[in-house]
Amino acid sequence: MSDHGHHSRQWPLWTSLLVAVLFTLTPAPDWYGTLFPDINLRPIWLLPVCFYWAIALPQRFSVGSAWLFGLLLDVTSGGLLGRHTIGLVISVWIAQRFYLQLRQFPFGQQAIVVGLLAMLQQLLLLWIDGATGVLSKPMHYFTPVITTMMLWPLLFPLLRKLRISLHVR
Amino acid sequence: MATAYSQNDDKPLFPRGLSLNARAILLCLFSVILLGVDQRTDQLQPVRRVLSTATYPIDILAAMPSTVWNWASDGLSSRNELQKENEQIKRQLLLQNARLQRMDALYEENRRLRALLKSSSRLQSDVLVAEIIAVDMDPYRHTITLNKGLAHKIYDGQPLLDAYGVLGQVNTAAAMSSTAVLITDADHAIPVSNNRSGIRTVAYGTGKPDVMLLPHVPNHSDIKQGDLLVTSGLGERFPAGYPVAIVTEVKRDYGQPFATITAKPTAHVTESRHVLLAWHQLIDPAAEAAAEAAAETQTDSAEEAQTETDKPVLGQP
Repeated sequence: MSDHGHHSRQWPLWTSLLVAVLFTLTPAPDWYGTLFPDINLRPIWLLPVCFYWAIALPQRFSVGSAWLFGLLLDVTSGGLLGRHTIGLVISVWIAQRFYLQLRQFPFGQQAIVVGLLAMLQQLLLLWIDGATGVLSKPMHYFTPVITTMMLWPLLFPLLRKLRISLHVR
Repeated sequence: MATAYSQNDDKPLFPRGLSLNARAILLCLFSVILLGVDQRTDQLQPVRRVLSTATYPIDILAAMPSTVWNWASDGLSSRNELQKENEQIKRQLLLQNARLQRMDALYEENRRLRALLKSSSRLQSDVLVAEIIAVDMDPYRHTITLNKGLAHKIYDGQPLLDAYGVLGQVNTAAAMSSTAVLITDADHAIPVSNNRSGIRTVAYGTGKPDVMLLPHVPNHSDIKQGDLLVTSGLGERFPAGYPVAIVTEVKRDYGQPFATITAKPTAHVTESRHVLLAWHQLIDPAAEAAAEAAAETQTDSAEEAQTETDKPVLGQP
């Protein structure tokens, strides 16, 4: 156990976060607009992935890294710098405070926690966008929370499998 | 279940530096400061430029699915379709060329008249074609990423056109790419004037790709459905005279001071894959005056030199 630092494999962790950013940025295909003309069903990707790594490897992934990835999303999505970072830092903070309990939760309860954190982040976004005058429909901020919660039971086993099979420590 | 996690939980989580709480609070505070500074000032523009340049590969990767899709659909479009498109483009080219011939004459005439009036020419015909490599995921925020940047002399605030009208303006130019905001973005406003009556106003984006609003037009103004709105050139951001939108509806409620007017952008906001970047550099009044003075002395000396030949100094190319 003492020589963990020598061959700790971390790239799957950072790659999964990068993929979450890419999924957020990829434009929706044309058929999405025709199928769901005025409803935003695109899940929030970065927050649940951050949440997972914060409870699985709290010693590797912490608030600082979450802040950096939040900034990455701000830069690439073209919003104000700091738009996503507060919500992510608070989510990872809470996840780290209670990671031992959160690991024991069944999927359903974890999904609820993820949903609450996603809701917090969307509220913050709504508030920031409202204060800076670029507010769109409030509905568009909250429908993704539901899809994010529905995504969790798929995302959690996937990331878990990734972590265990690739020995991410 | 917990056994599947890594076993070094017994190690102190943060053996060095600040505690988790302190770091979280500091990062949140820093984010708030960042937000405030970014919202109120332009000071973070260089930072954003550097970061956008560094993250350009991510933009490319994120655009990959749609790039592949476009490529595949181009490759699969039938011969028939291509032939039809080709015919159509040929016909269009013929029409445009005919129009251009007239334009050339008009351009020359305009240039001569301007020279006679000694007014500085603000017509800049330099344009560059750029490709849209990414579109913002938020349906209400209409920003796009282009594959041209500082390396191609793109500057912040540069007007963006397509074949049918004004499309938007560049927000941040990075080294090899730039982000642009469209005129239909809920946060965008563009000074326009009515091409028919000359009334000046401001057209706001609404977040919908085919609706713009003109909230500051008094009820009694001469504006009606079908009027073409062109850039007024005020604000010195967009060159004057480019089509922006066509008025779709004018509702006059005489209890209210302003009419409710909606317009539809002439540019094909959602369909363009290629856009034109136009060069319309601001002309500094002082520099302009100096340049004019210099031109005048030159003209004077030229006139002196050419008095015998009796040739018009200005005019012929």
